[in-house]
Amino acid sequence: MPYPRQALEKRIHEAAQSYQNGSEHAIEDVYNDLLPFCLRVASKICNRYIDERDEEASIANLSILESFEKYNPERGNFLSYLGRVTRNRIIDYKRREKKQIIPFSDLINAQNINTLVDDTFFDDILEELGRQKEIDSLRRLLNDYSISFIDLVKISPGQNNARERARQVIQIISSNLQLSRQVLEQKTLPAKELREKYDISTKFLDRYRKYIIAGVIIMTHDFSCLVPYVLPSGGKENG
Amino acid sequence: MVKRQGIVLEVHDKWAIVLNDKGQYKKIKTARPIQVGELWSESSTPVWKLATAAVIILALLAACIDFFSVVAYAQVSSGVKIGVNRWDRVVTVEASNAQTAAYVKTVHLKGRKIDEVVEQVVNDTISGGLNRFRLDKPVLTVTTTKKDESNRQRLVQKLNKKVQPIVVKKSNQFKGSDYKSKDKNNLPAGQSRGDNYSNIKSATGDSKVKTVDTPDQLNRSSDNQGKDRINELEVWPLQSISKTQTDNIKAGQDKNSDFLPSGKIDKERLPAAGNKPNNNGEHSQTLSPGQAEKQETSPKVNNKPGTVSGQGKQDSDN
Repeated sequence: MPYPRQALEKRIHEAAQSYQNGSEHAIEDVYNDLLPFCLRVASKICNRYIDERDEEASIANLSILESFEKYNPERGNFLSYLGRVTRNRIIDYKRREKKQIIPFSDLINAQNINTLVDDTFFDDILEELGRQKEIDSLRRLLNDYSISFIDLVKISPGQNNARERARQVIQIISSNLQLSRQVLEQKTLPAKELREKYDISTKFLDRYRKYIIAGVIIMTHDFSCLVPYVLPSGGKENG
Repeated sequence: MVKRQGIVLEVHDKWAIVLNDKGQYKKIKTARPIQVGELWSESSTPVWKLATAAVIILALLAACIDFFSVVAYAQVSSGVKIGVNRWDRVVTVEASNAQTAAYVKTVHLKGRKIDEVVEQVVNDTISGGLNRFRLDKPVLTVTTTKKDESNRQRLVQKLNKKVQPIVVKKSNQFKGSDYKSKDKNNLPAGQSRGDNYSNIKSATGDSKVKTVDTPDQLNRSSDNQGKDRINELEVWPLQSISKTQTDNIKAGQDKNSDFLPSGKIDKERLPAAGNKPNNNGEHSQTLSPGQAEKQETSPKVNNKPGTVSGQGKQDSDN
């Protein structure tokens, strides 16, 4: 499920027109989608994690308002324009800060400020936000199975052969509607069918149960950014 | 090395969880701030591999340094000085004169075991004959770089097993001697006896060296008669001498090399009395006054047959 950029762009266009026509509440519809993007841009510029409590977050808020006021659809898409405005405001803020305090990290990361950026910079940020949404959805689904990412780290197969075999089991289950339904609904692996039809030992399934279930969830819910990582090395899904 | 890529799934203070392209969930340390959804690339060379490689290299380096460290020297009277490491392997070979230098170039001695090398060098460079074996000049002198008595004794005993038969054999190779053996009646017809001098002197002055039997008779060690003859031999190829005597011998070696080929036998260089049979047919060594004096000043050593003593001193030159 990629980041719904086109859908968001459409909503933003509508909101911008409404805002310029005098409707101040039009921004609220898209504000929750735009703020993470602006914070991510600020984080890239400052080379540290920025949350809503930081000073840079207030600058990001002002950037959103400014973009809505000055945006012209003829100049390109809104998100790229918003990203440039946010970046310029953050840079101005950092330069004002430099007159008082010059952190060493800023000198090291000066290239983030001084180098020109193009649209691919903001496209990468949008892709990251899309992946973040998928990962957040995956986390919520795994919680229903009492599985966390820490658990997956612990039981992840270390040997290449075991990992490859587990990925094959994931593909077998996700490609079979009946087997995948049993996993998603009953939250158990179809050990009997796998042993009889595919000669997969029960011991192997018990050992890597959580790993296989997580892979089946990724495949069945079509998390496009994560699917390539759980497929076997020999075959990759199209799309 | 192929860089592993992945997606950041979870972020904490100084670590994060990623899913790499091999389908492995890994916990990584983060040097810079990263966020969920970012693409991650594994470092090109894991630190543990670099550390392992460094440890292996250091271990090999230490082994090389240790292998080439000389702990003892075996100096043959012909002028060949052999440096030995802790594993009794030859690491250095030096020649004190031109003849031995030429010899050293023709043979491969480094890396081999010390007993084999000493056996070969003594066999090749020390000739037989009365004039070659002088009681004040040992065939082989063992010195250690550190005060390691046990190592020195061990080396001396080890080398004595090799050198002693050679000395005995060479001493019997000299022909034309007018000595008479103890059991002259047992000599094969036409066979003459070689010289019966050992190449060392006893440090205690008890230098009574008796007749050396013919090689065939000497090899009869199974019977008591043979054993008695060997015990009577009392040959000590190695001796313990002081540093001053070492320097004197070394200077003498440089001047008067025992290196082959054998030259004209100089009977005048023989000990004054030579070997004269006594009433029992045994031969004893009568030393010249000068030789007797030198022996009196020598340090005492263990005179038991088959036991030798080496010289242990802090040889600063080595």
